[in-house]
Amino acid sequence: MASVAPDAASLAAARKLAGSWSHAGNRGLALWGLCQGSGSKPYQAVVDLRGPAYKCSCPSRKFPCKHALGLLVEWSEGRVPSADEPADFAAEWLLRREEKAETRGERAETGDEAPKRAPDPATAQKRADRVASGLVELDLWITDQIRSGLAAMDTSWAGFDAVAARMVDAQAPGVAGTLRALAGTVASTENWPETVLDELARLHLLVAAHQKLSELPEDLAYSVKAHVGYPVSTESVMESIPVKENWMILGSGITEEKRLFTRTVWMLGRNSKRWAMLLDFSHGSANFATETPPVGFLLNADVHFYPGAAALRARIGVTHGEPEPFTTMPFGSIDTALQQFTDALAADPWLRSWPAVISSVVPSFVDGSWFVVDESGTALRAEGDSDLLWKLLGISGGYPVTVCGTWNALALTPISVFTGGQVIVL
Amino acid sequence: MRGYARELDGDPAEMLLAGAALERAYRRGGAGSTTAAVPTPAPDDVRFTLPESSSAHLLSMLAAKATLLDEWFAVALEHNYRAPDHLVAELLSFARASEAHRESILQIVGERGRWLAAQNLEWSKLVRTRDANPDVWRHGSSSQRTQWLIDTRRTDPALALAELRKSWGTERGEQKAAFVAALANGLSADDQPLLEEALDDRRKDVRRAAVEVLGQLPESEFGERMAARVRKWVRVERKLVRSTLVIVPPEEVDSAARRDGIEDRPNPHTDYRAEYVRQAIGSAPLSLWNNMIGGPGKVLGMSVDESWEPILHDAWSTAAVAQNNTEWALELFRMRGTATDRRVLPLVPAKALADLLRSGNGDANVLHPGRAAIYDALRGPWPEDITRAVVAQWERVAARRADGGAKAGEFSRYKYVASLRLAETRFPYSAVTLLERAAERARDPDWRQTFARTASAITHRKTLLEELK
Repeated sequence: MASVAPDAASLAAARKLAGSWSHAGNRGLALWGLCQGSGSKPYQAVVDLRGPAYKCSCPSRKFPCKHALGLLVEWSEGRVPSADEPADFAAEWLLRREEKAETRGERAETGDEAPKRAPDPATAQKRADRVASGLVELDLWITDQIRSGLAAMDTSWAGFDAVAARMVDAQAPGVAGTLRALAGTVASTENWPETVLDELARLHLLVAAHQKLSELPEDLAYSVKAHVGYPVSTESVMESIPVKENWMILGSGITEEKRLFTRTVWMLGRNSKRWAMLLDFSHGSANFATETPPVGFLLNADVHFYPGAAALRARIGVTHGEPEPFTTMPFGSIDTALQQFTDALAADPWLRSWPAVISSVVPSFVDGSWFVVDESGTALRAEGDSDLLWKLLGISGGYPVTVCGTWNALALTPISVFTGGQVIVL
Repeated sequence: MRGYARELDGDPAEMLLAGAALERAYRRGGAGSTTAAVPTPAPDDVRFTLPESSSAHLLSMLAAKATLLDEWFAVALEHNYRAPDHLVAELLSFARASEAHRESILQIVGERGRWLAAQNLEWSKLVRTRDANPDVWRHGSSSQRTQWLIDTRRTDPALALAELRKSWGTERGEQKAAFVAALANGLSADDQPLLEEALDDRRKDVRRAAVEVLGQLPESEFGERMAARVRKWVRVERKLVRSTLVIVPPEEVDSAARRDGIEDRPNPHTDYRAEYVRQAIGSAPLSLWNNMIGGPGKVLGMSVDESWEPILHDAWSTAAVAQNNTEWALELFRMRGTATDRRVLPLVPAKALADLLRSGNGDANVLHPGRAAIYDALRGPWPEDITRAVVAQWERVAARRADGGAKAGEFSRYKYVASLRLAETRFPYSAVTLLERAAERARDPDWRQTFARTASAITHRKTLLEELK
């Protein structure tokens, strides 16, 4: 239950609801009940244990809300009687979920972004033309900035947003995202002209590559399209030749931006040492269509990669057997991590970071800077959320641990730590 | 790279951008490592790591400020548990944010917590330097010095006293009172000379602190002087049936008495001279009465002018608490019952408290201020019969609430919040059945919910405490 609760306080609040329940019942994997709140009308909570999925009539913004959690508490303590038929208020929603599950069973997989129909070559060409003309405009804007000098640049949020909006219209959301992020960089970085020039050069290179798209090797062309923001249909990914491996699940996290929840899962192939990253999106709530394998487990599965010169994003296809816990990790040094980043960057120069596992390093906090240091004293700078870095330091206690994170040429952002035979997500 | 750069041609702006892109790839691709120092490893903690479920519960209890935390920490620390390493940072954040369970959190995070906190500016103040080295005392800040004194008084009182004596003459006035108060830890007859000196201090707060501390040291010259004053002002008139205490307060106190802290305390309810007696008895050793009359039972059984009775009982209560005298505490409680001074209650044995609660009639009200204080002092788990009586009383209240009427508001569960909250942590586990039955019987929906909720809280407490064992 603690794993589905949005925070500890919600779980505690849910426990306090004991005694407020009426008309609770369960059938199969469905739970429902009425919870008397402060108002006159009780809240109607329904839980579908597959998934799990929740529904409640309360206005709480937390998800799942305390009523849904409270219902789970009631159920786990055996206070929910079984029933033949769900209560009226629960029936409709459960039925709709039932139907959805069936249709999903018929289709192999559901995608999170691409339409199901076959791609129309004419539509694709139209989009490519639109992007191309948009990028020509972008390049004009970039070279104008250079000509008039960065000191004269409109670095306001609105200034960048206007260009970004044009890129959204041109169906290049990847470029738009980079431009919007620049406004923040200017505001928070002291020597921002350096960063801005860096980013403009990166975009200029992307425009140049897009102009020669047909001449590029196939994989690189896919990378260019991915950075520009072309959609990739799930079907086409699932049709690619999979990599069958024992995948170690090394990290998992959910982030939220403007009500869009993103779940990231990091996996490392035990034999191939190949990295895979699963990305899932959900609007409005952290309720994802697919289940993720638990961190610290080994999953034998066919993994399909999104195409690209440095392929990382992937989807799980057929799985072979149940996930099993693992208690050892293959060795990875600081040098290997740097080399792998360089190799990935050579294949895809627009890449921002690459995952790495670094064994036997001691996290260290010196004069306000974070590091991971190996036995020889060689170190990488570390950065990230401060709570997370203190947690890492607390776990290590000055002793060597294995750190998994992403390296971006400047610093390592830790994701998880492996010590004493288990993976702890930071 | 230079080769590529030379090939660049055309528009200067584009050349600059292409050059920057090349430089960017070169710089990022070639990013190397640096070097850094590592911290000295944290000392080992040989205690057992908390069970995984308990760790998760600890965080949720802290987030919810659960009433159970005191009991939970007591059990966890008694069973020699420490927090798992991955929770240490989060627990320190809790310790910093709230004072409520700071000491317990610092104990459960142990060595790893001290190690981690020492490296974080925001946390380092949490961990005290439990360092017997007097360097902290000699060169530290005033709060560090006070803390050193308190800590060292617990481990090596003689050393702490010696250090304080050495610097006493040059200490700044505003710190002296805190230093004197710190002597209450590990107090012994050896501290007398310094405390006597403090009685002559120029500052009033220092003199007051010394009187306060000396009051906790009955076998002292100060105690003797107080006893002598009491003997002068209080006389026993032996009679056949019941002897009488006769009090003759002084018109004025001498300078010696004023040095010992007896002062003018205007009180609208009593004569100013009665306040002299109150202060003298409160600071005098209780053994004095033994020699004058006999045990506390006998003393309290004496007849006395009724205007003096509250003053005497108050002063005896003060002395019993200062001298940590359970014999007197019990006798005062027997005599005064629900009117006993609340300060005395923690010294009274649980059995005596329970017996008094049992002696009440059927309408014993847990809300009655005197009784509520006794319930509050009675440590859990409460005896079965008392538990049953409390539940029965709530049920009577619930029934009257259900009956409605003009006074129904008096019987709302909100009026019983304090006792209900107390019950969650003090009721024995067996109360769950009682409460569930009460929930079934209750006609008032609010009370039904309250009974069920309390039962569930106790079940939850049982789960949490048992997973620690």
